[in-house]
Amino acid sequence: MNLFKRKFVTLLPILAIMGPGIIAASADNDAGGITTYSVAGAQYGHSLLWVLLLTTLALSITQEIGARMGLVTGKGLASLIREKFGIKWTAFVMGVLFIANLGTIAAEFAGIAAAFEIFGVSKFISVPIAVIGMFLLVTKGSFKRLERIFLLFSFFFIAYAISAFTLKPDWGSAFSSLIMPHIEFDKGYILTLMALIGTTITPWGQFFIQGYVVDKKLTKDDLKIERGDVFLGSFITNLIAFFIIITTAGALFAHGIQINDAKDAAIALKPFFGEFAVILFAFGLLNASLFGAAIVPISTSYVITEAFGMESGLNYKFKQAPEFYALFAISLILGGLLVLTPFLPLITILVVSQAINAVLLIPVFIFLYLLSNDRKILGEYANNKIMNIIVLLTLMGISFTAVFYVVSTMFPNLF
Amino acid sequence: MIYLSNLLGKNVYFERKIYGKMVDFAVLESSPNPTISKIVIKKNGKKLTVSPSNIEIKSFGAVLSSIKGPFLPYDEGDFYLNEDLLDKQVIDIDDRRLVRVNDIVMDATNQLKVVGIDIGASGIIRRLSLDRFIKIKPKIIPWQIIEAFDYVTGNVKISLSQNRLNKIHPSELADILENLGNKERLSIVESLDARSAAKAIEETDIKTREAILEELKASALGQVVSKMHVASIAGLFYKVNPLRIREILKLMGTERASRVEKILDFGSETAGAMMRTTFWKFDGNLIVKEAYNLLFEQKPKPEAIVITNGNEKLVGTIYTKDILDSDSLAQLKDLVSERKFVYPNVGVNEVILLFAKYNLRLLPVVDSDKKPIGVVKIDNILEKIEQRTQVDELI
Repeated sequence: MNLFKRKFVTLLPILAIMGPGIIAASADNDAGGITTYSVAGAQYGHSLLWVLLLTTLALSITQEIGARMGLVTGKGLASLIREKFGIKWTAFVMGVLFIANLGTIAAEFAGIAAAFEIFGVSKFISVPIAVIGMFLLVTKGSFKRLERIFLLFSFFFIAYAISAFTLKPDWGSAFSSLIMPHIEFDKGYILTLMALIGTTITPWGQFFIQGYVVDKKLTKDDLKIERGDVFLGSFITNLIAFFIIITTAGALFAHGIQINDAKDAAIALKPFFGEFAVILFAFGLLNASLFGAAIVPISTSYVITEAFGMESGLNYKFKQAPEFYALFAISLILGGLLVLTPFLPLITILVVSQAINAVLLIPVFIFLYLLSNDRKILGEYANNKIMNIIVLLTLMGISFTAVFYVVSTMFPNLF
Repeated sequence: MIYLSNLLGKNVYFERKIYGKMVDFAVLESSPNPTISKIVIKKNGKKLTVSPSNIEIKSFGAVLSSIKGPFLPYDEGDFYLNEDLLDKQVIDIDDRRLVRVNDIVMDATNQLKVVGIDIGASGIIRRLSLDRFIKIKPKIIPWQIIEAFDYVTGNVKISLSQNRLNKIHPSELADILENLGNKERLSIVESLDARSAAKAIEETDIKTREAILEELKASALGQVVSKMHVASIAGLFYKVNPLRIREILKLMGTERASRVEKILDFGSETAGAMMRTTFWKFDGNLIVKEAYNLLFEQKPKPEAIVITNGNEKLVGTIYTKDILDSDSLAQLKDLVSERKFVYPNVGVNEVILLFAKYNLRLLPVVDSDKKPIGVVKIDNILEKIEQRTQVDELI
């Protein structure tokens, strides 16, 4: 106990200097993330691993662009869109962001519901309590402290790495799948592929990283450190994804088990943790979901109020910034209600919301691309060619996948 | 008054044919009430500028009087309303981000002039062409208080530059404060020197004054109240939250604070100034037994209780001793023995007369909705009479 205590204390300063990139990346591995990776591994084995390599690259570059724009201009993405493209485009992008975030928030509550269902608590009890609890925790509590607690518990993901090594998977196959792209013309496969993209690279994450950098009042001098932070964050996110897919592939796919609810996903941790796996998984899922449920709704109201020029921030009282708090409450409530909709299984909400996120990335990235190439705004810090190529390839990749999905739904027997 | 958003994108006609579109307006931003110096017209993808004297603004668009010119090329160096001001961030002196320039307000009576910027949701609604369905009052920051434009970040700084401040009359400043949002209002007050701030605050309407005194930072508050008239603080006594008032009185120092209290007791000779705001109030639908239980643990017991109906409105007063004598199932509203009341603006003399004439012990004071807001007790009346006799003796 004493030893643990000492370790805990030495860890705290590290958490204190953790940068925006790491926070954004950790929040990326939220309920939707864990579920999508688990489903990808359980359903398709190693065959989707190649997507991770591409999303790592795309995530690093787009997050770097976000951080760089924040550092150079001192403004959030929403501000830049508003100032460059006017109110109509801003309203459009904010509409897109709101829908995407609503999906993500629903996914977080679905994660909370799923975690509690493992212990037999109905979602009709857990979700309303979580909605109210989140509102109070964020508005009345200390947000920073909350964030650090969630981050600390993110160490849960190490469990996947341990499990992965215990399973002794075929590393050769894993690494070759990582490098060799593989496509199946199957509705489910493409949907999972899209969800993999959409859970790693998210519209809210793009706004979040830039807003966070601005809030921390970082400047151009911090660019180098911030780049490192962002790249490291992107790498860690996908490393975790890699281990989740490897373990679920080994523990579920190899035995033909499909994921129908959260309990099934916990099987991935059994090889090392045995009966304790279920509890561990429920705890990890809950923590990840709470992290997301704390960050995404509040970032939604920050971004939208910033775009429309309303007073915003937790240091205002309700009366001073009513729109800010109303938006926060509405996104929590709507997100919670989506989970309580009958006939929508939690796993479906979790995966489909991520796929929708991927599609809604398209308009966000178009604006990101245009702004990051604007020399009037960024001067010498505008994108270079390589960055542009990666952003454009990402855009094309997502668009093709989306079109592919539609085609595969409409004409399932085309190939 | 005309909004920039109403003009942007409108056609420019010459001899009933479309010549181009209005896309921007240049101003000389250094002037306190800047007139439009150039109107930018987009014609076949090229931007030209014309002098406003050559153009007439109509409801359907604008009409050129001649196409002979002079047409000048678009000059990047000018200050343009659409390009450089619209949608930009408004920040205060401490570089805090506040709001955005959602629209720009202009005056078109003689010359086209810029009057201020609209920072309210009304501007957004108007620009999204939703103003036909949603009506919101605009929130306008007048041009006079815009201090500077940051050309690097495109931000608009608001605060009063000392230079312009000298030219603004306190009553004009008061108008400005009344129209602003809370946050901007406070940042302006904080940027003023205490004397001007106090003067301007005194000229504002009671709601604005109340809001400012409620929210102002303690450091600024102390300086401002030290410059305000004792009487105007006394006027706010029952409007501002009691904790805040206590703070204000503390900041004023004992001597000035006691003068406030004196004004409240003496100067403003009304029921409102005399009343006590903590008093016993029961819902008239309660029955005697319930009232008895409520009173049981209380020491000392109130002499009389104000009775309201279900909607918080006054029914009358009831003496505690009467409750003891009544049927335990009777409703309080049926036991009311006195139905007199006064409004807070009723003069002290009339209140005293009422007490004398009807032998009252307690008189409720009600607001315009007939909701009780305080009571005058016989003790207060006696105090008042005593004070008056003292004053008389002194004279």
